[in-house]
Amino acid sequence: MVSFNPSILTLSAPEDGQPHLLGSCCSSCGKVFFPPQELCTECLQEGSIKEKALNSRGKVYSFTIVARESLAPPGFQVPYAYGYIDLPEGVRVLSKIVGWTPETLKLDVPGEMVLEEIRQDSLGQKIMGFRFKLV
Amino acid sequence: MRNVVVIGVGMTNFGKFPDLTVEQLGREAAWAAMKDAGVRPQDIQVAYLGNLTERRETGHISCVAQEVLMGVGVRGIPVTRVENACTSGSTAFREAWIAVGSGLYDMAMAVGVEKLTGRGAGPLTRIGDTIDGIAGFSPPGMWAMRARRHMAQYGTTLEQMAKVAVKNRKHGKLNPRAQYPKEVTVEEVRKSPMICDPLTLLDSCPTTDGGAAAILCSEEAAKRYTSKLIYVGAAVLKSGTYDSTRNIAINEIEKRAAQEAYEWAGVGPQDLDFAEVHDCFTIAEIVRTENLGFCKEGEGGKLVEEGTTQLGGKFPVNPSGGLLCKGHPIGATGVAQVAELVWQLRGEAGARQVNGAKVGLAHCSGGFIAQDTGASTVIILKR
Repeated sequence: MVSFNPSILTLSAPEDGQPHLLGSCCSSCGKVFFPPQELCTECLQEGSIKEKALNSRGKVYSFTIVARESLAPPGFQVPYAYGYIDLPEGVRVLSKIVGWTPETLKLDVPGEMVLEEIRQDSLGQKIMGFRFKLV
Repeated sequence: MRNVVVIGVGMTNFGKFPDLTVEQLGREAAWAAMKDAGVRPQDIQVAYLGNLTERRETGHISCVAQEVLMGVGVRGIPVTRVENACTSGSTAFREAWIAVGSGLYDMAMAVGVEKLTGRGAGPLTRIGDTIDGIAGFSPPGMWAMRARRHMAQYGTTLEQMAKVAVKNRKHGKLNPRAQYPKEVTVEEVRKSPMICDPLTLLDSCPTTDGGAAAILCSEEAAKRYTSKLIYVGAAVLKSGTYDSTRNIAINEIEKRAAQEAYEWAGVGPQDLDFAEVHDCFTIAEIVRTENLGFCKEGEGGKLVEEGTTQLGGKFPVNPSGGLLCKGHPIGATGVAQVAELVWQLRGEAGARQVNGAKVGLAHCSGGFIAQDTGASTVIILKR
């Protein structure tokens, strides 16, 4: 299996061998960015950006449940949910949300990022993406 | 910047016209504006055309602006296509204002046109291997997320949101060009099909085709064409700050755009007689009346509930019916807002007339980047 975008989602991180979202961290001012950036737009220091594996756990800042079939891209079934997820590093990630019910999906509920197959490519290889799963 | 005057406006009907081409829509609007102004094609020295969705798949791989304009006899001059999502048309208008105000040109035309039906274009959902694409994001979802935060932070209710639709449908019923000139009730809004929870179909603007155009010229040149001088007080454009953990219930980009527009025009929100505000969704009008300074932060729901913003109220918002009722042909919307401002200020708005209108504001925003807005424009016209 391969990541839908290896510069954003790694399927193996050095420390724990788990899949992680990849952000950028500026070694000069400490600002964390997601998605990754080549330049620190906070302090404009060149060459200071380092890759940073982000926390898997976060909480729902806001969400919606898509009910309209015409809005669903190929491979999506309505109803499906997505939202902005706040991670402890001070970044916010847009993610499809899984493991929810109309009763459990609320503002500020916690969860964690998990891997999910998005589709298979023409060679039958699984293309993996990330989802936020309520815990 | 020297004084710039809008001497002509034109607009097609807004609606679903699968058999009309983007050229036909754009040309109808452009020709109507030229006739309204009393100008010939050769009088126009520069032109800008706002459009979002024309591309290879729709048959226009490039230069759709030139293709539209050649059909009304506008050729040879500098022509530029402009894109800033939903505020493409307003941006085109602003470019025309700068072209004339700077002294480089004496007469400019701004056209906005969009064709969303008849070609299987589909909604503006993100697709592909991007963060937005794998989440299945589309613009109604952003507004649904904003609505949830606005409701949680300020106590805004779904009924208050529905009242925006009720109000704008009431206005739009008086607009001969509106897509849905038919009233709705709060109950009908809440019971209409869910789009992106909590936004329903009637909380959302429709899919629309249409065009609008405006002719701008210097104050001196304008006096040859009309005695009803409608001045451009301001045409401000801003982009977002893209702060990762911002409060999405406030669009600070709109506050910034409005503040600068008020400064340019030498007016404050209290000096406005009416406004056209980008009500792509009911919650959008609520949020924007706050950002534009028509009420305090968090009180946009109360504002519509009190009746302040309906025709006949203290400060009408969206007398044209807004996007919710009139429709939203994306590139055309900003220029159509200008047309409404001009008709109101000239006293030509018929049953929708805001009595004694002297100063009007048109706000439009577009684009979804990093939970922020890509572009926001505020235009102030006055007589």
